[in-house]
Amino acid sequence: MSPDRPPLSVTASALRSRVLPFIRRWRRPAGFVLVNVWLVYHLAAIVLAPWSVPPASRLVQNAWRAVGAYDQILFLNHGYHYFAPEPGNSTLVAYVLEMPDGSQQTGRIPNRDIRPRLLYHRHFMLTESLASDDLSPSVRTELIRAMARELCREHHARRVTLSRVTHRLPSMEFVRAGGALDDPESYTEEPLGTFSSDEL
Amino acid sequence: MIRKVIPKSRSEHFRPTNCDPNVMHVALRSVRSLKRLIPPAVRRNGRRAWEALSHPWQRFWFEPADPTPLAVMRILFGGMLLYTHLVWGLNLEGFFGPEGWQGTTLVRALQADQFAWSFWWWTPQALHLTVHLLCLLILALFMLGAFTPVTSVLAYLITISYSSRAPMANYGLDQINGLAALYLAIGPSGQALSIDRFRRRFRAAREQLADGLAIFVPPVQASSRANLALRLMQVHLCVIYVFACLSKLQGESWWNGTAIWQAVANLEYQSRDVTWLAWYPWLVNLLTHATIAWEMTFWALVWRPMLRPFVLLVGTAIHLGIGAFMGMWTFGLAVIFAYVAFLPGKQMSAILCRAVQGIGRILRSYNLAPGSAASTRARAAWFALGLDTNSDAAPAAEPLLPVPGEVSTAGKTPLPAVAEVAAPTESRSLASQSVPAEAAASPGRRKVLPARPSLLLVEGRVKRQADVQEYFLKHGFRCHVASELHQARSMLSVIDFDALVVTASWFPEDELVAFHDGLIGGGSSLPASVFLVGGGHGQTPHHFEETPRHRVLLGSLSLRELRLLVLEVLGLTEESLRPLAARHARSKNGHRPAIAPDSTPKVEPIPQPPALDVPNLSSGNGSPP
Repeated sequence: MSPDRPPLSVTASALRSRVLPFIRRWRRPAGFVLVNVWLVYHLAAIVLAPWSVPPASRLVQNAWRAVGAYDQILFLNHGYHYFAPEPGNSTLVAYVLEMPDGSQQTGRIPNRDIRPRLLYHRHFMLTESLASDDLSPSVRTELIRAMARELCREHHARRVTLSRVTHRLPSMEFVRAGGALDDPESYTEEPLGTFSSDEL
Repeated sequence: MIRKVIPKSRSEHFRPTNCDPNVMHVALRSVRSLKRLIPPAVRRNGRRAWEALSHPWQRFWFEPADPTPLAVMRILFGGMLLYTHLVWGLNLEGFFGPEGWQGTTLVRALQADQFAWSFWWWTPQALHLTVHLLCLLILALFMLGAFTPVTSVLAYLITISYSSRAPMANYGLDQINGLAALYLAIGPSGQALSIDRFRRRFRAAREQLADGLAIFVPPVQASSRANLALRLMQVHLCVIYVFACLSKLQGESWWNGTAIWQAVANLEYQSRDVTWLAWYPWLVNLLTHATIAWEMTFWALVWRPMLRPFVLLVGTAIHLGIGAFMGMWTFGLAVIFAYVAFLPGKQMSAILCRAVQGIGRILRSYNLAPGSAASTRARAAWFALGLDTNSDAAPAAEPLLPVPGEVSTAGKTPLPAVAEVAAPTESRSLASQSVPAEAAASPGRRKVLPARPSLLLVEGRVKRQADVQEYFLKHGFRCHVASELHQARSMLSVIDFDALVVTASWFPEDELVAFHDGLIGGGSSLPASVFLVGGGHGQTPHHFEETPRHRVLLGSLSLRELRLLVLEVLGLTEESLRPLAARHARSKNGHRPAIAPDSTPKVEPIPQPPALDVPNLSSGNGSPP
């Protein structure tokens, strides 16, 4: 030890003589064990996330509780139900805008003219959310209000009337008989309400 | 009451007065004492059972792997993330504003009992555009591989932040983007094909050029982390397909064979009219059932090397179909990008290297290659890009070394066919490397020394490895080390070695013979070899075939004898390596070498090396110390 260096305290000496060698010796095996534990947990998390989507057993749903927070934080909590249980009808939103000058504009979300296609799909997913069974009534109401508010903001409209449009899928027989995919009879409209920009 | 009597010598370990005050130390000693209570046979079998379970697990997840597939995925997904976020930006306020499609109240209500998070919640509205542009910049840097350890993590945080803030506008694309970004952040995705790597290579090449040394840029390192990330991606894809299939089987249309019709007849998805399928219901049924069958079997068949290309090609066709007919190009491409995790890294690396070298040849033919008159920076950049086709710095010849300290592979794999071993792209003529005039033919290498012969030493004893490696380095060789035959096989498949020296003799004899025969069968594309196996001095074992390029000796050799034997099989002389040996000596002494092509450096006297003793192969004491 150099003479100008202060003597080590008892704690520091103990740290150097016992704790540090212990850490050095066990650092790699401990790290390896921790990585393996995390790996098993992660694998459980990515399996339980889609498995716990209803209908799921109580066992699986309870098991998911152990990994749910991890899945949600890491954005892994997905069901991967692509076109499942089956490709269903489309849900759209039709709107009628009342402009400040009294004129009216009509439209539909998603608008097929939206480019690029990815942006079109983003809008389509918004309206598809209306048909989701997972939404509580309050969230659904808030979603409709948010759509009305955004439409009024985008188009500087005074008032907007929204309706949910369900586009039924045509059968093969219908098409073979000369039916078109956009046959007016395949659309069903359900009013969602009229909203004023002031009250939104 | 029966009281168990503990022998005094054993009980002393547990007596506090005699124990080390360190509690952990006491615990460890206690465990060791308890271990002695277990009969050795039980311990042995238990260890075997544990190894039978743990070794395949460790090999599957942690065997060092080539990071090239991860790098390719980084470029592809980096581009996809950049595009996805550019599109978010087309209506930034609509999707992320507090009063947009998904206003604050709505998303807060939706995620009330969730742990989903997003930095958008803490971003003031006035800074939305600035933050968005910053995110785009980070994603672009990630795609290019700049500051990848940082940008890969940031890219992941950006991806999940955007997706969590706009949950109702998400679909499959965002899920695939999220998991890919996660695994690219876990793995060393910037180890190859990146600006980071270019900068490392450039620095090394510039320093070596400035020193007048032969160019040897740092090699790509195989990494356990790369393997872990790739394996996680692969397993996650299998999980996705399993549950995608199981969820489909809950629907009637996937059973009655009309689901594909319903998907393509959906006007809102449709981007190309395929209603002609209505006249071919059998085709619709077939496509529906094939989709289910493929998704159902993906997780099992994709692991079979023979079936993997077929499985991935079908998957690629399905997702291209989703892109072409349903307009979801981004989703389809994202899934196809994820398939890169299943592609073999070595072959991918070799193809990319050949492509880069091809570009180098084209540039050279148009006299666009930097000559000796060009600046050091230009020449270093030329080498760093891997455009130099003649040098051993070219990526095809790059050693792919396991990262020191990485988990080593356990267990032995069967010797592959000769063709499999003979993966090196071109057989390099060593004679041409050792001739300075040949080396000088390359404009970028006029003032540098001939390339060092590269040697692969197969030796399991660490001290012996160090001794032999040091000795060969000192005498003008490049020496890499493999502890096991399978490790040597892996290295041979990616690196062009000039010679292979096996000094360890605890390998099973049949495996050693098969390995040796494989080398002979590979012809000139595989390195020359020297095998030292157990037995009497100077004899040739009966099971080994011997050729001038492949020598087998029984007994012990001094290091000098071994070196001379290696030179003999390589067709080289001691004289040809003297400049390299002298350079090594000077570098070690800390003097910067000032080598001129016509200089004849003085070679320091070679000390008498220690003898290599090789244990008898048939004696059965084959385990390394």
